Amino acid sequence: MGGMTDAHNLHLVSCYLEEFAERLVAACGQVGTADAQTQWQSTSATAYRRHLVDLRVDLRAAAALVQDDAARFRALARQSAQSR
Amino acid sequence: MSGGGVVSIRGGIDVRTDDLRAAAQIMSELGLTLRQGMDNLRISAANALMYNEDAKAQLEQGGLARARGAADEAARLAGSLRATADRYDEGESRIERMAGDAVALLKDGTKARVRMMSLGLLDTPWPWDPRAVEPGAQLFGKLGFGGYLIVMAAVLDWRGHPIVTSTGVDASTAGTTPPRDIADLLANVERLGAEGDSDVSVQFLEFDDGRPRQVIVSLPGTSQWSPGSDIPSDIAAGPLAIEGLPTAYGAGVVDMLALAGVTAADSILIVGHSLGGIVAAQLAVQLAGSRRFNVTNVVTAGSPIAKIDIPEDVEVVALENRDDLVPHLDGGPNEGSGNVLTITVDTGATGSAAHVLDTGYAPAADAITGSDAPRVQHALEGLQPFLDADRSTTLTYSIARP
Repeated sequence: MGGMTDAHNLHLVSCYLEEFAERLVAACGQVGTADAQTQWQSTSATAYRRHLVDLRVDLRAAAALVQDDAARFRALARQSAQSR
Repeated sequence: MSGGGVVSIRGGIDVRTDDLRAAAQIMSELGLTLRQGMDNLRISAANALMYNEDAKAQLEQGGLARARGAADEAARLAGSLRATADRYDEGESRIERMAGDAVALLKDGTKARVRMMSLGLLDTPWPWDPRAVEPGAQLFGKLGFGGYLIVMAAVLDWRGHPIVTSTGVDASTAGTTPPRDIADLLANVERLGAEGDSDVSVQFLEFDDGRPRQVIVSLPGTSQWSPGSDIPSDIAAGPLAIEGLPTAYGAGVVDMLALAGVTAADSILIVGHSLGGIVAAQLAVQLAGSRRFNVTNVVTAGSPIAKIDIPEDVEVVALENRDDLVPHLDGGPNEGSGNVLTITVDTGATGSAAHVLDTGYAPAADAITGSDAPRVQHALEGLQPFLDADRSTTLTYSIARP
C-alpha cells in the first residue's frame, strides 16, 4: 500500500513539474513579446535587450530541465509501482 | 521618477521610456509568477514527498534551481529597465533644468550647435576663457558667466550615465562596527575620501531586538580638482550641485542603492562632506516621495546647501566650521528651519584646514555629542536609530563617468 501511495505521489510531482515547465515556456514567450514591443535605440538599452535574449535562453533551458525532471519522476513512479 | 514618452539623448537618439517601463512591468510580473509557481510547486511536492527524502533532494537539484535563476534574472532586469527609463527621463530633465536662458537656447534650434561645441570643449582641459572659443563666446554672450559656467559644468559632468562598480565588502573594524556617534559617521566618510578615488559606501545596520534594518550612505567630497575627469565627484559637479541641479555623482549614488539591495523599507541616513553633503541634500529632495528609497536623515559637513529646499520630513544636521568658506559658496546663509539644524563649530583650524574633515569637523564631533543645547539634543535623538545598531555590514562602490 505504501509503494502505491509513493508511486501516486511521485506521479503527482511529475505532473506539477510538467505544469511548471509549461509555465516557463509561456514566460519565454512573454519575454519575446516584451522584446518585440520595445524600441531599442540606445546603446545602454541595447545591452538590456541582450539580457532579455539571454533570459529567453535561460528560460528555455530551465523548461527543458524541468521537463527532464518530470520524466524522471514519472520513471520513479513507474519503478515504485512495479516494486510494490 | 515617473513620466515617460520620447526622450532625446545627446547625439540625437530618441528613447521611448514608456517602452522600457512596459518591458520592466512584464519582467516584474514574470519574475513574480515564476517565483510563486515555484513556491507552490515546492509546497505541493513537499506534501506529496513527505516520506521520500531522496526524491525531495532530486527535485531541488534539477531544473528548479535553473528556473529560480531565471526568475531572479527577470526581477533584476525589471529593476534595471525601470532604472534605465528613469535615467533617460532624468537626462531630459537635466537639460531642461540647466538654467532658464540655457533652456531657451537649447530649445530654439541651436541644440546641435551647443552639442558640437561641447564635444569640442571636452578636448580642452577647461575653457577658463570662454571667449577664446567661438561657439563658447556665443553662449557666454547669451548666458553670462554664471549661466555659462553651469552649462559647461553640466556638459563636463554628464558624459552619460555613470558606471557603478562594487569594490567589495569592507571587512575592516570600522566597516563591521556600527557607528555610535557623529564622530564615527564623519570618520566613515573620511576613510573614503582619498584624492583621486570615487569610493562611496552603504552600511547596513541590523538590530537584535528585531527593529527594521537601517542604512547609512557615506559620500566624500570633491576628490578630483580638474573638471571632466572620469570621477564624477570632480570639480565640475560643484557648480551644478550648489545650484540644486542633478549630477552624475548623485545618479551614481542612486544606482549604488539599487545595486546594494537597499529597498523602500530601509530608512536611509546620508552623510556627506563638502560636495558629498550637497549631493546628500539633493538626493533627499530627489528621492522624496520615491517608492524606491526612503531618505529620512542627512548629515552634512562643510556643504553649501542653503539653496536646496529639503523636504520637511527629512531631518538634516548641517555642520559648518566658522572659518570654512565652502558652506557659503552658495551665496546664502544656511539659516536652517524646523527640520534643518545648522551647527557652527570652531576647531581652531583656519584656511583650507577648516574645510578638511579631520581638522575642521571631526575635532568638534565630541562637543556636539556632549552639547546640552535642546535643538542639538533633539537632532541627535533623530539620528539615534542609526547609532545603536548591534551589527553592521559595509559595502563599498566606485562611481565613474563612462
